[in-house]
Amino acid sequence: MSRVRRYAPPLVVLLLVLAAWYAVSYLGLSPERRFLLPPPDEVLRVGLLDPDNLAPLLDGLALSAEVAMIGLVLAFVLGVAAAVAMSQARWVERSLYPYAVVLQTIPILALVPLFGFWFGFGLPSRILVCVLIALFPLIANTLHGLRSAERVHHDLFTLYGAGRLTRLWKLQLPGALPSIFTGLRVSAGLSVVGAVVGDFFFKQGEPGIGMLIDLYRANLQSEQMFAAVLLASGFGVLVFWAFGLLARRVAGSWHESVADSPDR
Amino acid sequence: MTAEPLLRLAEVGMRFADGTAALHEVDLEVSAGQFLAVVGPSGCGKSTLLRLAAGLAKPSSGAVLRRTDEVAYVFQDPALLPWRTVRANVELAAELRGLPKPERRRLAAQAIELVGLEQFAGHRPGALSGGMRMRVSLARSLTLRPELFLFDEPFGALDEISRERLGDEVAKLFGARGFGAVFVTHSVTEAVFLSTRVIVLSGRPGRVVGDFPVPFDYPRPPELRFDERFAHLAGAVSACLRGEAA
Ligand SMILES: Nc1ncnc2c1ncn2[C@@H]1O[C@H](COP(=O)(O)OP(=O)(O)O)[C@@H](O)[C@H]1O
Ligand SMILES: [Mg+2]
Repeated sequence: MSRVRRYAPPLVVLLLVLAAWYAVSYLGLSPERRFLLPPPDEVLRVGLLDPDNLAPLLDGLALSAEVAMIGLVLAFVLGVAAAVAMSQARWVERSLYPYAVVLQTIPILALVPLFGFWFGFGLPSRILVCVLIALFPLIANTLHGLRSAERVHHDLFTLYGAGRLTRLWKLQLPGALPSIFTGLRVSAGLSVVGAVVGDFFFKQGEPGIGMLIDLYRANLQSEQMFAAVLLASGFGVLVFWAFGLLARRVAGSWHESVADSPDR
Repeated sequence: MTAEPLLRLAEVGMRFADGTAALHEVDLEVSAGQFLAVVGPSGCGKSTLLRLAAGLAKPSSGAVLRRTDEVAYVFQDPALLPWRTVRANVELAAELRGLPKPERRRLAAQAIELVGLEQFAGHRPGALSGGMRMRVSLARSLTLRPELFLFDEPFGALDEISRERLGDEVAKLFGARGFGAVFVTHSVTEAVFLSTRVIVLSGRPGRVVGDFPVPFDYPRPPELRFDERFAHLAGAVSACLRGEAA
């Protein structure tokens, strides 16, 4: 019963979406314009089940996944380090935080062609896009988590003569874990988007999945293009889910919002 | 043994940066073997008084003299770290003081036994009731054998039964160890039951407006709460408190 309750609602939504998709493909589009939205079974058959088409897609996905994950790890290290520094002194926060916000507001994608000029079209530029796009949520969430330790806990640590490092290590960082995981999940999704979209713009070097999307678009191979889009978003979902699982492993036994998060 | 007070507040006044005056010329002394209960209307500065006594804040006038560093502070909130087990929470005080691991293990085990939570040592606070969490907090404060105990309405959030039971245990501990204590509470019964002396503070800014010695011997049996002399004294403290609250 509980299984039905859990899986039925999203399945119903999936069926509705597929039904709408078919309706648009077959009823909304004339056969000569059907390439604009090929029906799901065609996408599956041509894009995903044909090994000749699937192989380059998987290669592209692997490359983009590698870029996204390296970017995420770097953003994580930089973001947590920046947040820790900001939590230690107001002046550091006042100096750095405005620029962290700028990261969020500048159109990073518009800078992508520039990165190509400056750093070439290899992995480093692509990773840089991911880092820049994934950094802010990690800084903001970690800082929020580090600051959320209650006064009474700080008093307790003061009372027993704890120094800054002890306070950070035994009070603030463990207390910040749930927030850090929230940041990681958001940033993981963003990093995947950064890898795909950045790649989409580079148009040179080894093709990631973004470049393949652009290629299929140009060749009007819409089944492959949709398959590529589905693979890329599927990968994003997988990463989001994996970090949720990790969060529950680490903090689920003591943090309610982590333990109760709805996805599994 | 009562010659040098463990804690002395001399004409202590506290005014916060926003202009709130919380305490006015408060004098008090606590020696080893003295259990001072403090009652007063809410917001009069009782928690502020304890923070000053513990050195967590500096008074804006007057002086706070403490003769010991072995101070335990039991907060209104159990203040447990939710990611640590009961055992690890109880170990925290000794850990922050840098005691070696076997030593703090031993101290924590003793304290956990003292509050009767052996079966729950491996649980996280989230799995415990409010009364049990307060016991953990008490156990943590007991590990370092404090000479001065500061309690800030520690059992205020608990039901009557847990409250009295924990009160009995604190009285027993005090009878056995003879530390000095300042116990803030809004329950007059609790104040009289536990203490050797009750002080009544006025509304904000808090001043001392009543001072009642409590003559009952330790150990104090739970039935003392129904004794006639007890009721008489509690009535006098209540009257003083009401006179001030009005
Ligand atoms: N850090 C602070 N800054 C300004 N006002 C404060 C601060 N801490 C406490 N107060 C005020 O001082 C008064 C006394 O507070 P408190 O000592 O907590 O009272 P009590 O514990 O008796 O209820 C209250 O009016 C409270 O709002
Ligand atoms: Mg208070």
